[in-house]
Amino acid sequence: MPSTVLVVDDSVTVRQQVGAALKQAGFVVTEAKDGVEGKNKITAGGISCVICDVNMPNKNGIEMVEEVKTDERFAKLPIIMLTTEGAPELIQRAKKAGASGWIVKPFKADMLIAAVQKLCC
Amino acid sequence: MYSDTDEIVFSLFEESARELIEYHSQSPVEISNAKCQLEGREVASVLGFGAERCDMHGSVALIGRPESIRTFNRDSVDNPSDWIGELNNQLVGRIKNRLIQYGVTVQMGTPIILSGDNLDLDGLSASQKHWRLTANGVSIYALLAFKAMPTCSLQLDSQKVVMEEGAVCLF
Repeated sequence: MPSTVLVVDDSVTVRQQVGAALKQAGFVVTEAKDGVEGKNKITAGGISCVICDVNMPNKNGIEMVEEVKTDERFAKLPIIMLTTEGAPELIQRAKKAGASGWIVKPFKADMLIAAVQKLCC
Repeated sequence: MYSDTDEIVFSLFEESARELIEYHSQSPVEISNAKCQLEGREVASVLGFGAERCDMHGSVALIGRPESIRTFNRDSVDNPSDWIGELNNQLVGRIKNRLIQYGVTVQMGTPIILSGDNLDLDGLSASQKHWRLTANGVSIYALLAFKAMPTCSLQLDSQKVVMEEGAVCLF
C-alpha cells in the first residue's frame, strides 16, 4: 500500500510541484496550507511522512513540529523541512524540535524523493 | 551615487536572481537595468526585509504579465499570482542566505500580491535599482529598494557556513 505524504506550504504552486514529484514516485499526497491545517491532518492519522515549509501564516513549520512531537503517537513520524532558510541556528532549532531533515528551496525532485524514500519506506 | 554596501547588496541581488531564474526557467537569463515598461494586465509581488545590523531594511518587488510569470517555472503554473509571490520569497531568501556571510541576519516579511493594469514600480528609499530579467525571450521586472546606515561596512566572512539551495540534510 503506497505511503501518504503530507505537504505543508502556504504556496499552492510549491504544494503542486512537490505533490507532482511525490506522485510520480508512487506516493499518495495530501496538502495543507499552514501549520494549523498541517497539525490537524497529522493528528487525524494516516500520514507516513511530512514535507513542511518553515515560514507560513497562522503557525510556522517549526512550531508545528514542536507541537506534533509532544504527542507520542508521532514521535517517529518523519518531518522534513522545505524552506528558503539556510541559517545553521534555525536548522539546529528544527532538529531539536524533532524534525528529520532540511531541504533548501528550490528543491531538486530526485533528491527530495530519495530523502522521502529513505525516511518513509 | 551608490555606497559600497549598496553595490554589495545589488550584486547579491543579481547573482541570486540569475541563479534562481535560470534554475526555474531552465534557460540562461539576461539581466539589464531597466524600469518596468509593461502595459496591460500585470501581477506583482512585494516582499519586505530588515536587519538590525546596519539598520538595514528594504523591499523587493517583482512584476510581470501573468503569462510571462508562468514561463518562469519548469512546470505548469495554475496560479501566477501565487508563483510570483513564491518566486520573490525564494529570491529574497537566497539574498538573505548570502548576507549571512557578511554578518547580516535578515528577517523577511510575507509577500504581498497586487494585480492591475499598467502597474508602475517605484521605491522612495535612498538606494534603489530596477532590472529587467529575461528568460526564453520573456521578461519580468524587479525593483530592490533599501536603506542602510551610511557607516555600514560589509566584509565577507567565508568561514560562515550556510546551507546551499537544493541541498538536503537528513538528521
